[in-house]
Amino acid sequence: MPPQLPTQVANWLYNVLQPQYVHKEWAYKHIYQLLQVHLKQNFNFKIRTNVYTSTDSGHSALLINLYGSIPINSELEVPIEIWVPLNYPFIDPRLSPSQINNGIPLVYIVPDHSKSLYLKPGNHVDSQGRFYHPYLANWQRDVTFDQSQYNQELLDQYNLLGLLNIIHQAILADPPISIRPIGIDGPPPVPAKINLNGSQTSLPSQATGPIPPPPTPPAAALPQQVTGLPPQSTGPPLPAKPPKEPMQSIPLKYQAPLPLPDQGATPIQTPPPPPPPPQVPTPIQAPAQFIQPHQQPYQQYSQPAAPTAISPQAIPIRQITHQQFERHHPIQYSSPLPAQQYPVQSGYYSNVSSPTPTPQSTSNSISVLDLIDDDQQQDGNVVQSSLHRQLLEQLSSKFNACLDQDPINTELASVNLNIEKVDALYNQLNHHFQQANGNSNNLDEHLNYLTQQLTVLSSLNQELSSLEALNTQHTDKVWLSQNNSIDLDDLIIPDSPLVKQLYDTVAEIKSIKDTINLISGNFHQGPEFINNNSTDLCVKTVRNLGRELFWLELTKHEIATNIMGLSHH
Amino acid sequence: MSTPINNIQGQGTSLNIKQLIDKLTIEQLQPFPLPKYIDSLPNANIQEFIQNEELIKGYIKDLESYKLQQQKIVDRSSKLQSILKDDILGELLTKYLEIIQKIKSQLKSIHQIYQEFLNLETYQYQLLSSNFNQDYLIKTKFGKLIEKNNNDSIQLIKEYTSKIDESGKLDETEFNELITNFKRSRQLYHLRREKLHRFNEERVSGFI
Repeated sequence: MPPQLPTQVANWLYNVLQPQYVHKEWAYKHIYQLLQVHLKQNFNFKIRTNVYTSTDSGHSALLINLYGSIPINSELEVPIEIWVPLNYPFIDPRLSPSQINNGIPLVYIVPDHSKSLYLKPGNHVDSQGRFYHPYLANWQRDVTFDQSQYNQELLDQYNLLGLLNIIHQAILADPPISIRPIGIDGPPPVPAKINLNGSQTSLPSQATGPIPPPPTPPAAALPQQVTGLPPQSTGPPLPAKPPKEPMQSIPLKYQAPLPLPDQGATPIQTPPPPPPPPQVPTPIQAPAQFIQPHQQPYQQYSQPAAPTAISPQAIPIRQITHQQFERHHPIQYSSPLPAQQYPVQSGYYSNVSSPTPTPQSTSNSISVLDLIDDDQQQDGNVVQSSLHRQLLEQLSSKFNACLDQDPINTELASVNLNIEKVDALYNQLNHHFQQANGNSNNLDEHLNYLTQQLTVLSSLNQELSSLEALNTQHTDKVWLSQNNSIDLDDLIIPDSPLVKQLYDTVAEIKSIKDTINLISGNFHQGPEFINNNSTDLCVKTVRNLGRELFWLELTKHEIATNIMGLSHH
Repeated sequence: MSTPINNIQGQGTSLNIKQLIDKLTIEQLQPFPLPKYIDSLPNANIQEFIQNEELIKGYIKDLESYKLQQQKIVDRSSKLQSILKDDILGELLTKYLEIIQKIKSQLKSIHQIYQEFLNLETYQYQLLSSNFNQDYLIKTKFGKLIEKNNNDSIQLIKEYTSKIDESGKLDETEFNELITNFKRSRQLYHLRREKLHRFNEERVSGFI
């Protein structure tokens, strides 16, 4: 099974077919089949769009152009171009077979003169390089829209892939290419080229339509071409341009500025082609009505046509087709200006000045589409796109200016300020609230603690009150708690046991003296116990007390004077 | 009371309102590619479009990105209003007033506790000074105890004297008992008196 086409190529093909092609389903199917087999392989075919100018009517149209090379041997390849007409693959019997919208593919042999390859007319190839074959004649005879719109087998028989096989066979049988020009021993004459000043140059200038092979002029005509004659007078078809010529090598005659679109009423007035020979493709401006037959079925068939803001009658057909082409196929929009020339917004110019790769697109698939290689078309596009780009640049600046002045930006600072204020307000309030909440919790803890301490203090006071009652009740004790008390005598304690002994001795001495005084009646003026009946008892008692007193005095003196060294007072 | 207040803690991080709105740039506006009805116009008409500022403003305001930015600002302003009304005024300030009242009540309670503490403290000082004061314990209570000793001695004499008959004859046993008790009483009296005397001279020590 042939591989699938790259998505970008398939999308590109679909987009190209949509605007103008009448039977786009069949065209898509057949082109897809051909590219499946020969895209970058086998015959190395590629696809592009280009303006084809009919050799019969001189009408031009932007057609799909399939081009590749069929190898004959290891050294020789035959370059082939297949033009797919707008109403492919069905025949309109009212039209000439050579007309653009006649349905049958147009096949041309386009030898590369830079490689010293020249056309050799034969049974299937005429002197213009057009390929003829009974297969094409049968196609024209059999495939009309009325007969075959539902005849699948018929269209399976007549299609691009089958045509290419027929071409291959025919070319192998009779190669239409020779190393040297037929009948000329030397190199072929350089074709005439029109300069801006009317003179001719040797550069190829064919820009539209199929590239016919260089004519084989008679030897006598060669000097005229060398000396340079205007094409109107010489009449021979212009030589084929070298394929894949670099884009920057714009021919001199196209360096003059082209008319602007608003001057479309007077576009480039290329003189009509001279009547003889009618096969010469002439870069004339197609009349407006030329495109109408194709637009009408297209509008009926699918979607509405391009916006009607531009009157097709007011703009050269090349501009119309190219603008439509650009709108529908932005991938072909190559910018001649670097992106740095658009300082306003690179984002926009990334979309405009260069193709924006879709997610499915790849860089190599872009190289497959050799879409713009027509010098004239490219030259005009450069001017148009340059002007258009300048306008877009101005528009971008305007957008920027309007955006700067728009309230959506001028008031934005106020909105953002309010956002910051509200945020700060909320954060501050929330922060203070949390602090207040924390302080409240601390106060709760303090309250609990103080309440507990107050309770303890109250209980202590109650205990003190009870102790006061106890102390009042007991004169010889001091109550320290309900269960603990000390004797009042223990409040005053002598400093040492010797002092205590001295205190005790002194107290006893005084008590004995008081007792003697009591007996003698000298104690507080009390009664005298000595009388006639108690003399003996009193004397005896006093004598004992006196003896005891003597020893106590002696002890006192020993302690106080001899031991403690106290002085007498 | 503290439950609803505690619920609001940590709300400062949950609002997430600090994100500022970026200025609408032409990259975000995405005015290109131009729509077909403009892009397909002749350059002269595009030039006319460029010169007409109202048309450009209208075109800009009709862009989806512009509307999105507008909506974004409106949404953010609505959210700000909601925060001001609901979160700050409706909830935060209400809770704030509640916590203020609570703190006031707590301060009042603390003040009451302080006053009660002062009363209890005063009463405690009074109790301590009246019961465990040095002067009271030593000079007053101890002095009373000495005086009681003296009275006890006198009372012993009175009791014995009341027992003597008119002849004046003394019973030897009772007399010896009187002498012994009187001597002991006077010894205790003089010992306590000596202690008090020496205490006043600060020549003795004790636990006080």
